[in-house]
Amino acid sequence: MNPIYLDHCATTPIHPSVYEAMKPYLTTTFGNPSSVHKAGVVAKKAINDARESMARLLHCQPEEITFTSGGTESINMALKGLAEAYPNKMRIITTKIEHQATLKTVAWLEHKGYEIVYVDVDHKGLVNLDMLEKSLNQKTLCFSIIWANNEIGTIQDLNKILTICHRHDVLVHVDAVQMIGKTDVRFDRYPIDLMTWTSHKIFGPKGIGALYVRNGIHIAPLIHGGGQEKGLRSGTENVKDIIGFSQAMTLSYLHIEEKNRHLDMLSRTLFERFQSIVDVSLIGASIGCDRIPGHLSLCFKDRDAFQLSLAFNRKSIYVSTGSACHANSLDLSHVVRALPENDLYQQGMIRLSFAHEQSVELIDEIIQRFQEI
Amino acid sequence: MKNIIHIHTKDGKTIYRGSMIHMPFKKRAIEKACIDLFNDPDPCIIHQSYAVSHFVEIMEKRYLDHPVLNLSLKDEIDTLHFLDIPDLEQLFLTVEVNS
Repeated sequence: MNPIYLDHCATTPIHPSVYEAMKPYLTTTFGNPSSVHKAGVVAKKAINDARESMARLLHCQPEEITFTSGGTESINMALKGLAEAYPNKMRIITTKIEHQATLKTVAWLEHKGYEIVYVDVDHKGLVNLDMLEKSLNQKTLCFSIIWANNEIGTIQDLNKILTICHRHDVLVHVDAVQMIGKTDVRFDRYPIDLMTWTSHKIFGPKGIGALYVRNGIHIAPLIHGGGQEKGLRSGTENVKDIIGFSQAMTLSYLHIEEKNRHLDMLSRTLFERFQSIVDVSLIGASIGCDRIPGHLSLCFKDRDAFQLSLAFNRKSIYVSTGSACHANSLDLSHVVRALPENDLYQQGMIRLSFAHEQSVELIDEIIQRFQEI
Repeated sequence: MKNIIHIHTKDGKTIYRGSMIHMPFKKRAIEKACIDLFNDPDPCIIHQSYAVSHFVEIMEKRYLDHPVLNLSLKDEIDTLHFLDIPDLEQLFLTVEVNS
């Protein structure tokens, strides 16, 4: 039975051209970018070229991009780094549907004396903008928001959020891990202050991510040492993965609208096929509207989502659940629990996420295997 | 298609009747499977559930691709080592197929 991978919001395979771009840096081009000889200088130039290429895509300055080990580190760096740099601002606003990297970081800051305010979301997961505006004051360090939610797929109205926060001189940190490659992220269109993203969601390697910090905003480093990445992230650079990341970014910006139309078609077709045979509901925003293209978060009536995901696995269909391990028992995900109460959600949720190269013919096979469960 | 697993004595007394996933599994077998599958001697409930699912997969492959009626489990002990059912070798298996 051929595996059907429907978990592209968890991670993606490395694109062949990304792999090709990385290869020399695994073999012949191995110099330390800090070394002042030809082998080192070649590696240094490769990193700076990669950074410049990404900056061109994002419409920002290369020095505004810092490479990290991934989304989690970038989020830690953004929030703890801001906190350290602006010690008079002890209030952070966020939501309860953030990734654990944000929630655990703000919990750590709360332990250090910060006031953390969680803005409500509606049944689709969209931020309550009135509550957001009321929560902002002169003591607010930043608002940290997940642009597109990994579990329920909801995409926030970022420009409205930015307008509100900037009206109150509050910085905005955006977790764009699920959004890069799904929209033309450009800082001239979205005046974001800090942004986190990662490589392995866009057909790049794991273990590499980035943090954008707009010029003029200060953050303190978390990692001290040799002063790489302009002192913000010491440690010998992960050259091969930076190169792969840059190539993956370039690919992700090609034909975005065309890819999104195809992804929406795939998820809509699969959802309608499920609906024709079982009682199933979509959590979050509607397909094609404020939702990650190719992303389905589904509740199957009277079917335990976690057990269903294991049954999918036995049919070689790889999906994800929002289930979490809590005190050695299975719990609903924190994202689902943060939504306004709905009995529908008690069985949990399954997430299926397509890649643009998957074809509609796959859906017949998915349905056939599902009916055998 | 739903399959009901029926484990019974020779004279038809039901020992277990239900889905594969809800069968009683030995804790030690789950722990061992977690070590075999992901080298984790202290698995969380999610990974324990994955191990159980692995047992279900073994049973599905062995018993669901053909009709099974009053199959003696005497020769299935090695396959079903993970089931926490006493005197398994003296019991019988029937798979009921509900369309």
